[in-house]
Amino acid sequence: MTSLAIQRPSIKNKAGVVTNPRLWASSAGYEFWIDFGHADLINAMGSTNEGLDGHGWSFGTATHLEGSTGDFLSSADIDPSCFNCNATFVSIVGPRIFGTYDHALAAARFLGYQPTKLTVRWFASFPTVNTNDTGCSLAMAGAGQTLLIYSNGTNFLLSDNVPGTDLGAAVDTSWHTFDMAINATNTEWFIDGTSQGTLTTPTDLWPVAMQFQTGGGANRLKVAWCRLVYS
Amino acid sequence: MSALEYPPDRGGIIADPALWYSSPGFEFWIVFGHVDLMTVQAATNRGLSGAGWTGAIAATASITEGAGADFLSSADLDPTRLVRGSTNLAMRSPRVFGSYDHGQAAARFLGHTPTRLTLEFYGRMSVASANENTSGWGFHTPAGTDFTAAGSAGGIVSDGTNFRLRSVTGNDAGAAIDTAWHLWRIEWIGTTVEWFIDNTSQGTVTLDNDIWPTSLAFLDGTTNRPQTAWARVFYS
Repeated sequence: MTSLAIQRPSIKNKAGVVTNPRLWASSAGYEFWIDFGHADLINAMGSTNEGLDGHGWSFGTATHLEGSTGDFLSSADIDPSCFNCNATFVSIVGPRIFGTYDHALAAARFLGYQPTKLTVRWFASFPTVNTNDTGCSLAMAGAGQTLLIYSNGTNFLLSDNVPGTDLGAAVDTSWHTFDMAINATNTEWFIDGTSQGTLTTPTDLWPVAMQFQTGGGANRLKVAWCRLVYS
Repeated sequence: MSALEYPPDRGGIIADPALWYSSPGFEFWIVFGHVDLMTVQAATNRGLSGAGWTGAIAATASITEGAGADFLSSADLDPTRLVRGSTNLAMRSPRVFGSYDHGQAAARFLGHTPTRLTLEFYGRMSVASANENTSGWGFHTPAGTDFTAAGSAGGIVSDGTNFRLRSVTGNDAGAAIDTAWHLWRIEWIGTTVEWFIDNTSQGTVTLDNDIWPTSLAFLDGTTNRPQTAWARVFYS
């Protein structure tokens, strides 16, 4: 099983950690974060707002939800502020930059070695889990998903563009950490740190973009944060 | 200190190219990840044109999104990158690099006064067949359009047969041209400018003075077409 432990560089100054999603398209690093802490991120950019759509992201009629009922730092009673895909065909897509040699070469300038793995982690929930067109994905050019974690109404699954699928745990509506650990051969996926299986890593379609979306069916999705890490 | 090592517990890495003109540091990055960088700054967009860059507008520069590479593979490449499709185009950074004051600001982060300025970038010449000093990558004045003209601190160009490092007084032939992606590097230190392709030295020319500070310049002349995935400039 692939280890989810991220080998961080020996430096301690946090260089290479791009915590501002507005800089994903223009800044080098080995780790990229987005935290859905306020609706201004997904309000259209204008004279009074610094929305992500002015920085290489696109989104449609997405909404933001402020949490209000969680217990203090508790994993037992969770209500995060989050990106809320609560309608059909809602999506947010980042710049298409991840998974290529050149991007990893830039990451190597911070890591001190050439990375061979990309790990993607979301903290998310599926408030409704009925159909199979909603999830967290790495999106290739066009309308397809390179790698997608979704629900078929019974189980969570990982799919690729072939399409191949790997069946995971039974669905629920709880908050989980979802991971993909991608290397040149296989993509292993995890829920709350537990391996769910692997698929063969697709070829000839990188770089890809971070994407969360709902389709035309009943499934809904909430995402509190996401990070992508080269190691 | 090697190029891959950083001083511990210090800042000074300017990862946002929109801050090159206003922030001190010892290392400056630009990644060409989305066309919004090249969309003119306005109410609905934060283009580089509002942050001290010239030519960073859709009319003269664009971004091609990659789509067909293998995962992290150097054998099957297709980066998202800066491209230009027309003639006599240029994109240039703020004019800040290579002066004593900028080096002294970098020293506040490095812990020593730097003596070397390095430009490293991942790029290719998708067309390299012409003998052109007006297409390439290097340091120049904000108005420079030819790496052999006054104000050029040196740039990598093609003569139609070989890649070359050209400056006002310098002219050094390197490897035979191709259209493949390479890791390129130019180092200015003391009285010498040395250049590298994929970490192999290609030779040196004499460093020119009375021209600093300079701008990082991406130039497209008549025929040749440089493309760039990312670039970094750093003092050491």
